[in-house]
Amino acid sequence: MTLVLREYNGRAAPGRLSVFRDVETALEHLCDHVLTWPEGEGWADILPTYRDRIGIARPKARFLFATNLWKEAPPGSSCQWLYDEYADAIVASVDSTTYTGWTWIDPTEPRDTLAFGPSGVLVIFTSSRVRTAYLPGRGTPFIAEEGSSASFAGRSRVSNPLPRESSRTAEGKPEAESPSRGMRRNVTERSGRGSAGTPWEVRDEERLERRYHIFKDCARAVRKVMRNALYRERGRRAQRGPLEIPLLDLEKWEELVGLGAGRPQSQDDERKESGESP
Amino acid sequence: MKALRQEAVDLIASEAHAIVSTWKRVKGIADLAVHNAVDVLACWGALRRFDPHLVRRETLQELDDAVREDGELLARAVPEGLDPDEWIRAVEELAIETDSATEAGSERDVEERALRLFCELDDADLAAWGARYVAGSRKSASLEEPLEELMRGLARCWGAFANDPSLFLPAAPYADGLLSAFRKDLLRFDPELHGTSQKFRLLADVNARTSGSLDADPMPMSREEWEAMRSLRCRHELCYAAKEKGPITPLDAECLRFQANDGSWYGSLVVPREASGKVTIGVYERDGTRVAKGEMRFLGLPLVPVADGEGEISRAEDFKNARMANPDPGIELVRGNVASKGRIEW
Repeated sequence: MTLVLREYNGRAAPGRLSVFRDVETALEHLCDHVLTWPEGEGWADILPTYRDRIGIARPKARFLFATNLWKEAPPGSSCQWLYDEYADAIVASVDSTTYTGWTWIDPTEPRDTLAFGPSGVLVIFTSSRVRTAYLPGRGTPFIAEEGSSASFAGRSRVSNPLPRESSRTAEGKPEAESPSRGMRRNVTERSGRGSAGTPWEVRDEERLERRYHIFKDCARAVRKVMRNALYRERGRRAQRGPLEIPLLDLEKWEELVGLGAGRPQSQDDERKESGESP
Repeated sequence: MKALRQEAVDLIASEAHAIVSTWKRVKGIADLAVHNAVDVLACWGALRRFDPHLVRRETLQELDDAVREDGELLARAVPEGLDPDEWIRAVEELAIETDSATEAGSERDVEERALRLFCELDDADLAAWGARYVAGSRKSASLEEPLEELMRGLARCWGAFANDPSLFLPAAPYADGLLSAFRKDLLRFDPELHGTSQKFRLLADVNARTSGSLDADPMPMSREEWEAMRSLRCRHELCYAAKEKGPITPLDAECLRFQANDGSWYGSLVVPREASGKVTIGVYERDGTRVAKGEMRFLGLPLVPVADGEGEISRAEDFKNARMANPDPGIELVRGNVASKGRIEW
């Protein structure tokens, strides 16, 4: 069965917003953000069943899962559940701006609107579709391959479905190292959490703290990008730049997440709850 | 101008409470504690680096209290949470990404990544400063070795940064904003904290040069700066050495400062690690101009003049032997018949 794309029709967007242009784009973003490490590590704490359903800490398991998305016919037919979880997080982030106000126009690309959710997910969308959704400060670039540009153009996703994580041969063997995480060491892996064969069991309150940690890191990254844009644009623009995302402390963030949890995610959901057909 | 400076301070200050309160909640969760410890000490250092008139006392107090209460725990976490070599690898990836970014989306990626890496280096510098501050005040010998290793790693990062600061130009507006709010007496207030600010100055220099608003080389240190730097081997010297001499990392060379005993001249000395290299020396008058031709001897070794105020010892081995043999490494500049002596700050 073909992957069914979600739409958002809530107050936070001007019209019906398709969660990605088409199936291929949706799969690309699933691969480049949700399934790619180290960003995927954050998604594993955000998406409800992702961690349990794929052996995510084993690169080979993720790689095989991602390869299969492109090999099967039609592409992505087996990952509706993962797309749905990703789309839920995207829609929730967009919708949350109705009560957080954390949305602004991209100063360098005015057709793009940005929405930052309490989960830490940053969504960039136009008037009709979501262009991308990621965890700011955790992403990785495409890995350049010898003799080619760093972009993925020209390479089949079947041979390398995760081009931001590593470049691979047609047989799926790694050609290059995984991308760098930057200065912050991956203490999680060293402590054994989430490693192959190790069940990930944490207390509920710890899970909350881990999710807050993602929000905090992403919010700080967004704040810096916004400040950089503000300083760059100063003098060229009459008014102050976009608003600043506040860095909430854990208690206030919990309140905000609680507020969001009780809200419908879109008008479609509202209709579902009231028994109306769309 | 004040509003701009205040905004820069507020960006960091408004994160302090969230960072401290998170630390209190997660200090028992190993992996989260490590990263939050870096955040606490980095935020602490960042606020102390600002003009104190712009920072609310209560904000700083909250961080002071956290450091007083958990200082050793925080300091121990810092070397564990930072990975300088991975940062250098990320800079190499940024260089590739910068070369190939052509579309709007990839330009945004490059900007975000450059900013992120710049801030990561600054946070690491500040956290290392904080950890050393704590270790020094508590005389904790067991912290010395991991912190020394971390400092060596960060010196390698500085080398990578100084080799091509233009990679970080997308972060220049942010760096300029913060730089405007640093305390003017930072060097006297805390020379090591001042050292962490040099990446901002270097990026501002490169940015100004790129945009055509700066065409002169950066001046060597003023007399006042020199006095404050006397006992410090500061990494920012490597930055300036790298700018003047080409790519130099602490693995390649050691950069030393020296000064006449009477303060009438001063300069820098780059000593390659490989014994076969050349020791190069640049000497300045107090006003910053190059010393005109004169015979220079260092540790009794004659220098081969290269240009006004510049000379070299062709074999680093000779310099090292002379340095080993001389317990008080005096240096000598002979101009005409007048010799004046100085000393190297190791």
